[in-house]
Amino acid sequence: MIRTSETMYKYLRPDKTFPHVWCPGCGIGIVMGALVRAIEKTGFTKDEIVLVSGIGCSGRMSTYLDFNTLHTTHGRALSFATGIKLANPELNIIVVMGDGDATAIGGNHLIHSCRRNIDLTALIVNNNIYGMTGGQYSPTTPMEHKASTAQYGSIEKPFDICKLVEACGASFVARSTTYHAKMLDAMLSRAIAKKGFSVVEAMSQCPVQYGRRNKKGSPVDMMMWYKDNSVSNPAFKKIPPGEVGEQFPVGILVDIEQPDYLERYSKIVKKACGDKL
Amino acid sequence: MKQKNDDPIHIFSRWCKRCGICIAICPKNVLESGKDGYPYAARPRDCILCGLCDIHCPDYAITVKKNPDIKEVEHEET
Amino acid sequence: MKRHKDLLLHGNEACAMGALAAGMRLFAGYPITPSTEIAEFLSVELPKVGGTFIQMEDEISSMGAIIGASLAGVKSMTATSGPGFSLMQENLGFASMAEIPCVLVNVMRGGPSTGMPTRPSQGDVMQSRWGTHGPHPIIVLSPQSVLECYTLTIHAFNLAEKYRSPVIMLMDGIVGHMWENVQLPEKIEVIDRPEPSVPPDWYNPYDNLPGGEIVPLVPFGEGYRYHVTGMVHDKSGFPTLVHEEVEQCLDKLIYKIKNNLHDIIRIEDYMLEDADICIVAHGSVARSAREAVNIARNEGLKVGLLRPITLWPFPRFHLENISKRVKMFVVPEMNYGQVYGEVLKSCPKRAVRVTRVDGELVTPAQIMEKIEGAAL
Repeated sequence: MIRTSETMYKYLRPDKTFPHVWCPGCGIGIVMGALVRAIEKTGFTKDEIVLVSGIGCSGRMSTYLDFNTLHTTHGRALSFATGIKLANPELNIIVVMGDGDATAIGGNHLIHSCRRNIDLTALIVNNNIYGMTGGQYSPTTPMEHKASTAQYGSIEKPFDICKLVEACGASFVARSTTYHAKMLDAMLSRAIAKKGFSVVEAMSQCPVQYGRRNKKGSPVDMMMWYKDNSVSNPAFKKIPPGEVGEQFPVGILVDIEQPDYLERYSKIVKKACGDKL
Repeated sequence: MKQKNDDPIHIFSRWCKRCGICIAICPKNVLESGKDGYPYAARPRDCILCGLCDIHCPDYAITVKKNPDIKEVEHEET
Repeated sequence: MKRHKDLLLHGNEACAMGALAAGMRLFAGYPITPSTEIAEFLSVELPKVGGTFIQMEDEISSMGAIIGASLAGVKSMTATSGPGFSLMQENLGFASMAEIPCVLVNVMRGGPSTGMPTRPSQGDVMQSRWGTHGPHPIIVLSPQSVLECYTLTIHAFNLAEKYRSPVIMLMDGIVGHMWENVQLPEKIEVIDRPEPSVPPDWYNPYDNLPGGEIVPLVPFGEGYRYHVTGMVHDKSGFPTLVHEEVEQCLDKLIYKIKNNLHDIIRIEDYMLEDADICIVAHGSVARSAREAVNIARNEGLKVGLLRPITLWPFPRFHLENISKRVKMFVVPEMNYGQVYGEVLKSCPKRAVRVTRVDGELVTPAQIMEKIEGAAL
């Protein structure tokens, strides 16, 4: 068993201020722990990992972890990561984004990274809200839920991130929650090892901006909600459509083999060089 | 909270934000909230070393150390 | 100098060739008139030299991708026009703030908004300086010929690496689409990224070194693990709000350019020694201006030309010096007077502008009209 706290000491930047910036009970710390355990499992050195993050609560992750870290502009993390991967395919690139980061302002980059199947790992921390800016509704805020910009309840239909990226052609798609922290690190290590574009959606409680406004109770209550409503993917498929309710599937949802962008690009190089190769 | 040497659970209260997740997640009800709100191992002997508190602590403030007398259990989820 | 054989090229092609000669090995872009030929050319040529071409989903991600590539140690470039240039401003600011060398080509078309995609303009002079928010340094170059599209693109990469800054090649649509017979120089100077001078544990990517020396940017993956952010940062790269550190961070950005104006600024003058009237023109308009100088000289008028090759930082001191000798300035531009405003700022002398925004080049006759109208 990989112990989180002990492993963290190996990967945290000692000169940063701890405890970290996230609110008490925030799930992002659990997600970061799972990420570190996953990396520890893959056996890559710190120098071989690039951690790219966007803007928002989850974006702070890049500050704390001792890898090559890049804290980009809001929503653009995947485009920066694409450039890094193309320039140095040897690097293992993990892109941490929030739900607003990845599916609102960065939605275009997300769907095209899937379509392109570039070999990156996207970790989308979904807390259903814009936490850092004060609880505005995001593309994953459920209908009728409240946010600081949806005081009467959200009237927009939320995204199912996993369905979205699956439809766009991602090679590996998985979902886990902060309650299923152990499954989360297993999904992440699979995603990191996977060649092609992989997405792991980590459902993570925001007890302050989302939970409090929507009477979701304590951080523990929110995690228990994940426990009660999550269903393994095979079991989820057997639920009759009318009885799904708030339930959602967790685990590996997509895992397919297909050539990634760089593999296809090497064919272009061969064509361009003709006999010269 | 005072900690005994043979206690498998180590809490680093400097980083703890008192969210209560470790107390709730423990399958053996080992932890309790102290008067100050910080968790402490009320029933350390019941600990099965599953490590759920460790991996669910958002602040990396709790570690479960293996005691040679107790067999480590890998906890399976869902 | 030994020269290659003559080539018939257009400006966009020459720019792309210059980038390859400078060692650019990653291009990320999005199609837009009138810059698209750069992407088309590089999509064919980059795979042949071990480089990568990628057509991104928009200009925002194009700019992001070239920053990422540069951080991984590969010289990178993007090219765009008008609306695309607007979309790139956010990440252009990131490159300025995080001090990431890269080159952005903007082939200017008529604006604002969609404007006139197929007609040239020089409307983005101020946007190239101030398009992204906050105080930031920038270097902007303006070529007037196909040959210069080649040589200045190489120069742009050299400046980018030397000063760890984004550099903008501000071409107008005429220069980009103009065909000329050119002889490319065989020998060119290429500046590559220097090796780090300290071991990983001592490395501070944003250190303030004595004498304003610029810390080499070590590519990701070489054992120098550090943090890069668009936030105001301390010397190690981590966000800070400590007053002194904030000031140091921003001062350093500005002064690394300001203290090296002599090295960065390039101008060209033509018949300025005895001139009474100085025309200030850049890009394709400088060609009309040069012709106007010839016409004026034939008529016995003492007219000369100052052509800023480096548009930003603006060659203010050159103008101030010239203003001691000349009686007035004439500033022809394909906009309503953006360089004109800078000329006014730089010298108290009388200045008139010749503006044109209909998508056609300012003609020598138009410039002459102003010169003769202002007959001394």
